Amino acid sequence: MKLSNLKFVLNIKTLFFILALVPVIALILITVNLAVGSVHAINTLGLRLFSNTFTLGVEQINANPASLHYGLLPALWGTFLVVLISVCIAFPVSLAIAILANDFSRGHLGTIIRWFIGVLSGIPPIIYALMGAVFFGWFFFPKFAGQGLSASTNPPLPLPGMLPTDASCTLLGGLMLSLLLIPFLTPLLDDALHSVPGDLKEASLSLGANRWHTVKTITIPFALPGIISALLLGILTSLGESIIVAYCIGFTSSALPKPIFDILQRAAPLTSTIAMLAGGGFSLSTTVGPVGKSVASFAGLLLLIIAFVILGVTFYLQLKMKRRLVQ
Amino acid sequence: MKKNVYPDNINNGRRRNKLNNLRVAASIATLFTAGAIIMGGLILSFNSLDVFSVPLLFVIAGLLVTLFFFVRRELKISQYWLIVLALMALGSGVLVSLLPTYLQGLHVHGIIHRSFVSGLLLLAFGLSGVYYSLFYRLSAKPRAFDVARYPIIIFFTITALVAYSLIVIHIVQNGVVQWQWSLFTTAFQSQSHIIETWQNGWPTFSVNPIYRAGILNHIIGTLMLMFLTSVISLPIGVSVGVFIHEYAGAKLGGIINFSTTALRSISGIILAVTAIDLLAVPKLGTLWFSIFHGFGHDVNGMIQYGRSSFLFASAFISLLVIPVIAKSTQEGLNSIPVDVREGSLAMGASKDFTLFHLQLPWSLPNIITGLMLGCAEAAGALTIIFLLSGVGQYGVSPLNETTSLAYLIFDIKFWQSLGDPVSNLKNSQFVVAFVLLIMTVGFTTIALILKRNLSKRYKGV
Repeated sequence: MKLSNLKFVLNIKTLFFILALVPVIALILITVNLAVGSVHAINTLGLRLFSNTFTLGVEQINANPASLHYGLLPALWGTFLVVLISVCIAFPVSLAIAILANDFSRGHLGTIIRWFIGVLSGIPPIIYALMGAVFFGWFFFPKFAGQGLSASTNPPLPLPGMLPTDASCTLLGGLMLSLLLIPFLTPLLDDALHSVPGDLKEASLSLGANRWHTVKTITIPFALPGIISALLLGILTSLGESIIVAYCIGFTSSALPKPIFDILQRAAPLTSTIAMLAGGGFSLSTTVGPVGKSVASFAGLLLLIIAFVILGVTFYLQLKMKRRLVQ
Repeated sequence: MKKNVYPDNINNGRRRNKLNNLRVAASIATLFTAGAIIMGGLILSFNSLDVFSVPLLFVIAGLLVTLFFFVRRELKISQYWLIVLALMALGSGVLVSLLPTYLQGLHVHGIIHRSFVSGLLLLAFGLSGVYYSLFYRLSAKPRAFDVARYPIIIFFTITALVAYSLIVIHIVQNGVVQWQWSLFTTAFQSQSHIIETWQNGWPTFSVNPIYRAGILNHIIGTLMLMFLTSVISLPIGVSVGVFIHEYAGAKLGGIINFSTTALRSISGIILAVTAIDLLAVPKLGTLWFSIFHGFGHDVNGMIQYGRSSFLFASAFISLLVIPVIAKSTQEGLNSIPVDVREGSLAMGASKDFTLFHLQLPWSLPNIITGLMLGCAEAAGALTIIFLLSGVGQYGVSPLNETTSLAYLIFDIKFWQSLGDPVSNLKNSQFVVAFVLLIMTVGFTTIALILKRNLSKRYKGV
């Protein structure tokens, strides 16, 4: 081999290029893996993948597909409920914190708030999940189930055993997830509000508008693409979180909650269902057979498609924001 | 009646004096409604305080009506919204007093204590009461629009702050109570030592159970995950950042940027599914099987395979950390003034020389910050490894079974029903959470401090 060829191989640009391709290759690998893995489930179950019964049972070899119940409708509904609860709580709170840090603070208050949020963003989800059980004891137990679950308490409960006994329900999962979302959303919203040119705000203030009026009519409309992309990223994060929901809600739910809006029941979302089906970590899931594992891949593919759509919209909005700033 | 929105504009001393009555009334209303907000928070926390909710709602209604009449007399404004609000407060007070202690209905599988409803109502009326009373306390000046909105914004902030401080205080308090030094000096072990003895010419086997409670191996495992993850993700993350910033065109850069962001944004559980599928590829007994799954020797000298090795797990965790490092590298490279870079090139330095001697040293603070944040991420990353980890009782090295503090907390909850020995650590799970919290929050704080100080040192002219 000639020396010049070797020099070409060790070119720094090439080295950087090869290393920079790792994320792209990983993403392609994941997509292909999920797509290939979900073929078996689609072939076997077809539209019954979206039915309303989910049972985790022993899967016999060459089992009749009619005996397998891997309907993902309860999990999809659980995901919807959890995302709705967590984003509805976290988004207004983080918007308020971002507005306070950006437009309503004097002196070092904004810096202090940003530091606090930065430190809080280091708390891992398992801590929130662990505290979910504690919050259940402090707040949920006395609020939503009386003073105890047994019938002998005073005052006696109208119906015994109405909440799951192991400290888990959909509302608790959504609440704990919102605590995870606040440190994630606040810097994004803060950036979006911060990107509004100071000249615009100052012009508004110099014309006699007060701060609130400036925020309402100048800052928020200008930063709207950034705010919407932050909201979408928040939705994406709460879609994908699996530790808190597995810990505070549960792994699988067999059917839709009845009535359907009942958030005091357990409606396990898609991510924890995938975790149970993909197995590997739980002795319970050794019963999951090839169809079950394929259903996990299919559910993963659904999440991936949703993630790609949301990310695409986010990238478009951020591009729009940049273009507007250039103008 | 002519509406005078900003009566303060009339620079009239007599009118200013007359406003005093309104100010006193509005001050009292402000204090009282602020107290009502705090009381609402307490009622949401303690059921027994529910008795105060109905009188408080009535008093808020009374204060709002009083405020209406003072505003009408002093400012010549008929703010009928105050009357509507007062009627609503009155109505909800009556409603709450009519409610039974436990609400039930709509076939919901649960019952709701009355204090939940009354606490929320008290918060809503307290906040709007504070808004109006503060607004008229400042005589409806333009500034009052801002000041009156402060309580609403600060309420959200303080609520979040209280929630986080409750979490931290509870974990620190319980961690200190459950603290045992022996946990930090012993590695967790739960095995059976099979002893073979010869009696009368026949071998007999007796089983000697070994159980040691400790979290030493989990702590070392967490550090191992941090170290391996940063070793894998640092070169890749930096080169992604450099390549996008320096070499790539718009299209290729966009593709790499999209996939890097997507890796972090898609659910970690998807990565875990791929990891499990990848683990199933090598056959038992091959070298790749040992490398992927991790192995160790138990007390009997038998080889034990794990679910996945540290190396495998940290390769997947580094997919989450690469975007963090890439983003901070790009931030660092973007912060260099164009003049400095062009000056270096104009002096005859090559592009690579400029990169290694000017641009990368300049963006070093950002890279280190990204690395520290990535370490904190690796310590807490459980979404990927909770399907790949084990107890880690057969030693901690890159080719042993993955384990970490975060996994231990998860393990304690989900194995206790199965009678697993890990569940004996349930009484010290807050110690584990405390150590994990110190590690992750500590690394994040150090990263923030380093970023501030290092960027000052390098960039302060």
